Amino acid sequence: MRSAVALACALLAACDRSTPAPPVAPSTPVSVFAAASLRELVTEIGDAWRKKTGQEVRIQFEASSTLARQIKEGAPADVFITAAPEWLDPVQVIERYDWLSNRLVCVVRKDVRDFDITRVDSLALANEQVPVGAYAKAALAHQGIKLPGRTIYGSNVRDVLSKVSQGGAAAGIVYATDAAVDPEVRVAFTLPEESHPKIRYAVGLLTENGRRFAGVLREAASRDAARRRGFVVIP
Amino acid sequence: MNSIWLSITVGLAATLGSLPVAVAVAWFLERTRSGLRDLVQTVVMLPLVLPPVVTGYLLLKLFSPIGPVGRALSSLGTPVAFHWMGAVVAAGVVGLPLFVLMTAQAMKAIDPRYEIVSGSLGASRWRTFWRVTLPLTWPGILSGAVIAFARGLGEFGATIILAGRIPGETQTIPLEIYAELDAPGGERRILGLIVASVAIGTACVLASRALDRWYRRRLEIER
Repeated sequence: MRSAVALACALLAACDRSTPAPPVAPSTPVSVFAAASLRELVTEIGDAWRKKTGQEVRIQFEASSTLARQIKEGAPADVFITAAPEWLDPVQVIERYDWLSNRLVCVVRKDVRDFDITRVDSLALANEQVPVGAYAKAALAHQGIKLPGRTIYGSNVRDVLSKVSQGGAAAGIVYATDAAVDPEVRVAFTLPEESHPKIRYAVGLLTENGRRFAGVLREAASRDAARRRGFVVIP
Repeated sequence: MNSIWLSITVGLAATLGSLPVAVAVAWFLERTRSGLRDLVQTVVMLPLVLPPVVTGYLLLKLFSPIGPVGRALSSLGTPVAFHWMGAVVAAGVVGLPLFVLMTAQAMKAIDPRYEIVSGSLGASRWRTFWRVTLPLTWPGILSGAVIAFARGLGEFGATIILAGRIPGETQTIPLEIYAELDAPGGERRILGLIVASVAIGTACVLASRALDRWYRRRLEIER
């Protein structure tokens, strides 16, 4: 039923671009799939949205690669926000735009002194298909840093972060914004931007039901919230 | 080491490690009248009824590398959390309830007269255990071991939390399948792992049935 409505909306929109999308009943919840690193930011935007519009928002945070697979397998998402634009390619989107950027950092536990990445015995990384894992791998290779004997893989960036704060690995590669939310870790160094492909969070609109929420992400209030949390807004 | 062999070695180590524990606990539950039996039974059975992720979390808190127990174990050269031994402990702990249940069941099925006669002939409890109880329980212990091994082989929730996913060290079959699920081309790569899982699982079920038949025949002969 919902997909029939969505299809009708899509057809309407396709026939006549000037016709505004029919208003969606506020009772229909918006389902948002967002990259794990966006947890605090998108939760904040979702809360504000709920208060403002009365429309329920259901947000799921996971690695972009995991979310893309779930969407391909039929998970009902209206909006998909990925930490690497290529994960929007395998899913069918009505519209897409680049939203935010981020920096890549190496974190260690806060009590670690005199950290030397070339001497660590263990490193936490995200799986290679996870955006932060791919960025990290490119950056380490570019910097000529060899992987230590033990690499512990996390299923998303927050999993990598927790491996470092739990003491499972001596260091880990995460986004700057993730390092900021965990008081147990500190940033040992920031990886140069030219060492990896530019980090781009892309928003994909999958159904008309998500159009208004996808739009609100670009509004000034959301952009301010993103900047406050350390993200770089892509104009 | 690939994840299939790793799983088998982790499963075997977990089963061997939990064997004496399972036998001791089963004996304690079946052959003593201690007031602690309810408590021991509850604690040992918990991993069967708890979400494995909860079991893993509790084990991680216990063995945490930044906690006192984890530090002490590391300094002794046997770190558990985020090491091979963590995968073994996780598999062993979740397999233990089934191991204990099957062993206790086998002990319960022994005709009590054998042990009474052994005692009346002057054998100590210890000697009766080794010469009478244990030999009669072996088939049940072996079926318990097979089931505990199979359960340990499939362990995911507790393992990913306690041991993490370290290729060649803690990345067992289920962990590799999970990681490959969203990797491009991963579905083709996990096919072999799926086939291996089904094959090992089938072998375990068949082995367990064969042991059970052997056990029943033996009981009949003895009666």
